[in-house]
Amino acid sequence: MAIIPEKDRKKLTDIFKSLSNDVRVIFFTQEFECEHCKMTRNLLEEVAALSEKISLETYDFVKEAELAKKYGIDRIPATALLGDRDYGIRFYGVPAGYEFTSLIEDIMDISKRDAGLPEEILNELSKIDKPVHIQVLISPT
Amino acid sequence: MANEYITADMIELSEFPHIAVKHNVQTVPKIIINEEHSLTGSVPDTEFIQAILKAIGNKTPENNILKT
Repeated sequence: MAIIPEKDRKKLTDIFKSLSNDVRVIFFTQEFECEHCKMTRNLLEEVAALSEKISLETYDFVKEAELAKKYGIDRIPATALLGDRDYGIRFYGVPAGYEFTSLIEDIMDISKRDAGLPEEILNELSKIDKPVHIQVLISPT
Repeated sequence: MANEYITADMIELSEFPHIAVKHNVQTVPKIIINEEHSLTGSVPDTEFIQAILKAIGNKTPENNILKT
């Protein structure tokens, strides 16, 4: 049974028609999939199927430990969104509810290679010269 | 995306309750910057930037040049 309802899939397919550059979705799960890992994988597979610009790569957290380490993944399910480089964007847990909107918006921004931030904000952000690790903690809606 | 030094995670607390405990989360959304600084609720971009600059010990813009 599909996770994304038919009408939403149609809407997303339309939205994704405007995707220009490729977006890589890197997903880490494990062989003995927990419920959330399975759900996330199914969801990501459905999303990736809606556009040729979106590719999904699924890896085993245990078997590909080196790769997981490279992406800084220490828990699963974990989803990384990449464009022509790694922007450091990660989703831990099932990207459902409001998080799904963020996932889709991030895919759109990554495809544009532009987050659409105003000039003043970009100016301030360009001054940052030390690592900034942001974690947004949320609950399912 | 705007700066290579910045990385961002979205974390579903119901799946990772130890994180909620670690950061003493009472309400969501809660934003943690560099493990130490936190913001609760949704904040305007400008406040978010101020918090980031503060977290890394940079001087925040004096006159509020960031238009709200």
